[in-house]
Amino acid sequence: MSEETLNKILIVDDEEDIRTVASMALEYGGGFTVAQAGNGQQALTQIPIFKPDIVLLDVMMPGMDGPEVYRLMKLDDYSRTIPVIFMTAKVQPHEVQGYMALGAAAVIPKPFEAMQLAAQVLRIWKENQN
Amino acid sequence: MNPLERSLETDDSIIDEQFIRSSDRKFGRWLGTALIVALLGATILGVAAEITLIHLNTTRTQARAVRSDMLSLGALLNTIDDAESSQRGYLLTGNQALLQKYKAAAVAYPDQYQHVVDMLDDDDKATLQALHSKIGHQMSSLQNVLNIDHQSGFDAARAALQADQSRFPAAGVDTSIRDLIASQQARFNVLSAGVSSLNAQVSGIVGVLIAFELILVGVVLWVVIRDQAPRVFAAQELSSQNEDLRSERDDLNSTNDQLEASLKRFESLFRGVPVACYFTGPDGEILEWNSASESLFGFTTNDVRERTIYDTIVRPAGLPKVQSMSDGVMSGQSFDNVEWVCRTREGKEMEVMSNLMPLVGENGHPIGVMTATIDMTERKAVERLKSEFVSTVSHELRTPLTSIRGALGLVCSGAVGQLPEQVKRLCSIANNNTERLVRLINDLLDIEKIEEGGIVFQQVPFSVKELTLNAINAMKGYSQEYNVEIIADLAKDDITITSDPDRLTQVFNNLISNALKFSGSGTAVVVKTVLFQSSVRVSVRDSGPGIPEDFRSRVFEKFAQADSADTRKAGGTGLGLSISRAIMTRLNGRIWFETGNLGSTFFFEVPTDSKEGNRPLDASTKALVCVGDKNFVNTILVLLTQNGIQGHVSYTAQHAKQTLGQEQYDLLIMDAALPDQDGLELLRELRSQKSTERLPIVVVASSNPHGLESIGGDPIVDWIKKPLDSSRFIDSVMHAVTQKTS
Repeated sequence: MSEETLNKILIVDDEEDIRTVASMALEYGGGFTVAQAGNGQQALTQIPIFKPDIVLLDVMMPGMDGPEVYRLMKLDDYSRTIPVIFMTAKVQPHEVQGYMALGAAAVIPKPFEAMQLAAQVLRIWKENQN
Repeated sequence: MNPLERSLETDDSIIDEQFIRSSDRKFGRWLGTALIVALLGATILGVAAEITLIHLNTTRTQARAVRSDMLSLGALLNTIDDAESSQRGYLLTGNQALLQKYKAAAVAYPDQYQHVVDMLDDDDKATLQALHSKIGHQMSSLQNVLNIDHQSGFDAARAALQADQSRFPAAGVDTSIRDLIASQQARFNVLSAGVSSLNAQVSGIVGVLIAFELILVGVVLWVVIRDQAPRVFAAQELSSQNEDLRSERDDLNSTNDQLEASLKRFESLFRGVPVACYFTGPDGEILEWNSASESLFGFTTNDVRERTIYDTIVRPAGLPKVQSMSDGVMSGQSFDNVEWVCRTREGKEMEVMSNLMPLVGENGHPIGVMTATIDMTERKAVERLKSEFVSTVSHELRTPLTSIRGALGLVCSGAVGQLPEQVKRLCSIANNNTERLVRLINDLLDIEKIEEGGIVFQQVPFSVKELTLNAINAMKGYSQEYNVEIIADLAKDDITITSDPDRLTQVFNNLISNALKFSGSGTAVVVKTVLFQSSVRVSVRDSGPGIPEDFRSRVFEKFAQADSADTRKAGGTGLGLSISRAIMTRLNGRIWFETGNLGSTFFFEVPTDSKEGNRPLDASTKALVCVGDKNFVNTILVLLTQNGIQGHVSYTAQHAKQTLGQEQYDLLIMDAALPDQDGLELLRELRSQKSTERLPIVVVASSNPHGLESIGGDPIVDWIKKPLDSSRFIDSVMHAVTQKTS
């Protein structure tokens, strides 16, 4: 993992279309390397292998939801340091407050703006570095 | 006869008696004076008449005596003349008849003489007695001649007569008696003149007496008329007043009947309404408790007798909140839709919602608390379900939208390859409509959250100028798209207010984007700010066609669209103004508009400190209500009381001016149509006076009162259309009062 530049991003979402659009937006928009996970378990498996600089994590997923994935990440010494952005349609104020209270780096509401997504993620990552 | 009638009758008789007593006293005084004057005058005139009459009788008696003297003297003279002439005739003619006449005269003479002597006064008596010897001599001489005739014959007698040198002494006697008669005549004339004079005096006195009596009668008549006329008028007036009083009594009886009927209806309603209603005293003691309260809380009316809400339905944890609201109500405030947790008889906790308002006493001050409470358990469950539903639906809608929006964004931007022109156009259409769908979903969620209070509004200080400029700048791209210029007409000074800048920006965006959409290409939208002492007013003026009249009342409703085709063309969701109003309500501000053929202007006004909750009002805040219609006055008073404002009433402009001159008010609420003066005229008059030139005024009128704008401005003058829209009215009143009191 690079200390100074954002390079690898893991997208965790049960919707394949969203994963595809988001991946393309990040690749075309920011030139990042993007990996995808269709559920929480896949994400937890991929993290030690892909070693992402940041994780975009959906909230509502079948089986293991986003907060649960995040909780499990925090239990692991390696993955606990990786910043996580919750990318979700569930953005009522109390919900956003809940994600932030868990320790999320930021919340990006769905539907996101594809052409702004790369810049947005980069900015959050930099803020988190500081 | 009811007490009121008895009272009226008693009043009538008291008034009558008092009036009559007062009237009689005056009349008696006048009459007494007139009688005394009459008696005095009559006595004086009577005495004068009596004296004059006595004098007249005396004089008349004297005159009669003198006249009698004259007649006696005349008779005596005739007797003497008869004696002398009949003797002489006899001696000349020898006629025996003449001799007899002489004899009769000679016989009568002594008695006549004596009679005359007795009648005459002393002077005349002396004169007559002096004549008597002459007369005696003559009579003797005559008798001698006759004696000669008798003894010596006729010729001897004639010779003796001719020889007698004193045969004509009667001439001297005659002259003396005639003098006496003349003297008596002179006395008689004097006495006659005296009688005439006295007669004239008597006539004069009688004339004066008659004139006096006539004047007296006139005076008495005048006194009577003067005294009786007001009495008659007063009686008529009294009768008219009695009629009015009876009419008022009838009205009161009718009102009383209506009140009783209303009371019965209220009691039925209170007993039967399925809402827990109870009245409590200042310390929470329960005064009334309806059957719905029994059902909701489990405490029967007997259970709560002589107990307070604090030892029955209020939990220890909820005590401060309930106590604080009760204190607020006792100082005149009302609370609507207050949610709290109560305790039932079984000790179970229950979510409830209450409205609290003052129970107003006769003097207009709160004497207790009226509370209406409903069970919120089910509603809360529904709200939770609804919230979850909205959240889920929102998620489910957003999920596919995320893919569509993202994919379209990438394709349209050309990030994944250049597109043919036609494809690019179609892509742009798809992208715009996706954006619109996103806004619609966001707006829907937004309004749900704001209305249900699910959003906590910020309270942070910020610069009004900066916020406005930022909002305008954020819309620059949009304005270029529509080719409409945004002109900023900002207040020269800046002000820092405490409110929610994000939500205000949202209102700005809604108003400016609407204005841009509806203004024609090449025109301008003007954003203006005006700073008041305790609030900020923002206006956004467009150059559009104005809002159709039949749509104006629905402008702030959800999905309200003047013309759906237009709205779709403009890309609106139909929720922007509805959200803006919800935001302004939460920020204790207000939003309204004015519209015409030349465009519309939307205004919003926020207090400089817009803390949520009930606006703090001084308990002594008071408004003067100058309205002629009593029913309308009552409606206004109820609304004022519910909002913690004391209302005093003037039914006429005249009374209002007097009251405003004597007491300080925070607000005047006046009808444009007053019974004694034109409302706008009164408004101008008040504005021209030092004490009322800055008094906030709310005018209620059937139609737009032309000319108000020439008086209006700051300080506040607002007008509300009749029939009254309660929330609009209270908005205006609260705005005016908070402006004034700040």
